[in-house]
Amino acid sequence: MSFKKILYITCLIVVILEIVFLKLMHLGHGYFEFEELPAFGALVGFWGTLFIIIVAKSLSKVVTKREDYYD
Amino acid sequence: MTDFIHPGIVLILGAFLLPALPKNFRGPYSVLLATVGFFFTLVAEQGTYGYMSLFGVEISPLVRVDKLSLIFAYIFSFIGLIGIIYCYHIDDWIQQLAGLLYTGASVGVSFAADILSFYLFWEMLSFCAVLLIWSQRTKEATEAGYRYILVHIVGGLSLFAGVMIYIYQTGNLQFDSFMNYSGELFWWLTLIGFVLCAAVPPLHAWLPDAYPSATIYGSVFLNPFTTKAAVYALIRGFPGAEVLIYLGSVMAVYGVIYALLENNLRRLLSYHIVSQVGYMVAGVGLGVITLGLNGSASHAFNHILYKCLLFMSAGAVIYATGKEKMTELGDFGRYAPITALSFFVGAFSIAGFPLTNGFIGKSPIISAAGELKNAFAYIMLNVATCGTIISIICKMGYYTFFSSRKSDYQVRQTPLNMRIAMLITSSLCILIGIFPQFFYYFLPYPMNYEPYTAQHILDTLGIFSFTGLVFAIFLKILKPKPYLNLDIDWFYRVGAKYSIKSLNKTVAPAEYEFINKIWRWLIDGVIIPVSGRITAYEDRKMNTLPAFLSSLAKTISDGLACFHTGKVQDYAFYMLSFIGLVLLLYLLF
Repeated sequence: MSFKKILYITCLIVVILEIVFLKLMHLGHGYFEFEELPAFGALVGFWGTLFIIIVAKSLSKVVTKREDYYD
Repeated sequence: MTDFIHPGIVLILGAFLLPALPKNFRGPYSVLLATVGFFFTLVAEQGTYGYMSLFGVEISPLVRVDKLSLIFAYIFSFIGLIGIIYCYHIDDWIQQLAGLLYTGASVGVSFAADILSFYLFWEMLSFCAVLLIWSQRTKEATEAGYRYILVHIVGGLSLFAGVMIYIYQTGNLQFDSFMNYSGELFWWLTLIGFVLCAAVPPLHAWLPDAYPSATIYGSVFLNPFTTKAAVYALIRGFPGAEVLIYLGSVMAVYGVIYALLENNLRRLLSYHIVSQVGYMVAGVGLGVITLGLNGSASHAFNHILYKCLLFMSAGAVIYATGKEKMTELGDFGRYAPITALSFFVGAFSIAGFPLTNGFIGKSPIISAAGELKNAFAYIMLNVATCGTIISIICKMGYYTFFSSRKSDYQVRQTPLNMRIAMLITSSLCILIGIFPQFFYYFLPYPMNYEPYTAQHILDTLGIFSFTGLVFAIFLKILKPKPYLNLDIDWFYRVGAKYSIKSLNKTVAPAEYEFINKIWRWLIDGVIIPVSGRITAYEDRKMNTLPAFLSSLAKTISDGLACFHTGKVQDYAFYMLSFIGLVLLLYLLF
């Protein structure tokens, strides 16, 4: 089994666990209303990382220079 | 003072013996001294010590040991010991000396009760840091060291001004919370001094500039002390300052964004210090409830452990291969399993995986943001976690220890003492993660907090797995590239260059063309002729008088010489005629 397949299956299991334990069995309690979204952790992980990558890549258009820039 | 021996003073005084020792004894001696320092910290009892009066001013007390200072002193003296073990094998006493002094000064900062001795230890930190940066002995390190000291002088002066105004206005020498004076000038000056050392953007650029330039041993010492001493100072002086919540949250995300772009191992880790200290700064801002302050202290403690572990394993990679860019590494895990293991323990800890100390360390801060209903901090700190995972575990871990080999590097065996230091720290990271309640007992304020709740564990697992998913999708885009990323230090590095250039264009020509010409005219036209006249006058007037006097004397003595015949009868004749002259004058008048 390839590494990517393991990753996809892990993601799926985590989403199922989040929905089962938090949404169906109500084992957790969030601080905010938006935490009540199904699989909140997975959403933060996905969109948060996407946000970081997009910001970093657009920033690098301005700040990334050749290594001898300061010499 | 018999009931309390200051471990900081022991370390500082003991360190100065190091250069006098023979070469073979320096390693064992520094390990012994660091152990003694750690021991004295462990046995320190809570209380205040060192009452004294100086010039009639009562300075009391000098040393304060309470739970807040103890938790920082424990970790400072412990990590000093780990760092000394890590650099046991090197033949460079300056680094060992600077490491011991640095440890001693940080313990001194955490135990200082009055603000002046606090300030003294605080300034000593920058001095030791510069020694460690310059020990690399390269041109870049020398320049980075100068930039470091210049930036810290600015921060130190701001702090000093704040402290002086504080003492003048309140007459109080105690270092306590400044929050009663919120908004006053000295409040801001002191806060700027502290946040500069905590590397809060935009005052952070000294950190990723200087830390990667130090030696690999130097950066192990550099990363725990200055920034975490600043976190201690913030917890002590500014608990619940609201501005810190927003500074800290932005800083946590800022650090990981830059970390994601970096190629150099230690620069990437340095940006993670910025990000992680962001959590602590936000925690101080959330300190209106003690959960936030406890979170800052616990995160600082755990951060020091795993960050040093990461710096030690990065140092081991650099020691073994001589390369420190991800574009030149790859597939290193095959050659050094212990280094790889330590790195991944550190990486999972910093990202906050359950059962590591990072998870239990930063949970209280995020929970404090939740309890205070601060959605901005809550979201930003969670997003920063995503960034931490992707830049450290995924990017640095994958491209250094796995992926394909990118250059033909030689692998050197790392010394045993380096591996011992890494293994001790890794096991502590895991142990604290498994037994959080034991660790929470040492936090400054009592709290009843359980990090391992279903909600928290599942959210964390979700964040981890989906960050991994996004990394797998964007694997190609995130490949490290051999480039440099500009930061705020651009303003003073390029700014200094341009200011020299513009001075060359403005001041230098003005000086040469204008001032120089006037000066030349002044010299040629006025000073030289005038001094020529003065010389001629001297010749004429001043020299004639002595010449006249001497010729007069010669004439007189020549005239007198004809009386000095040397014959007795002549002298008898002069005497008799003189007596006759006197008698004649007497008879006449």
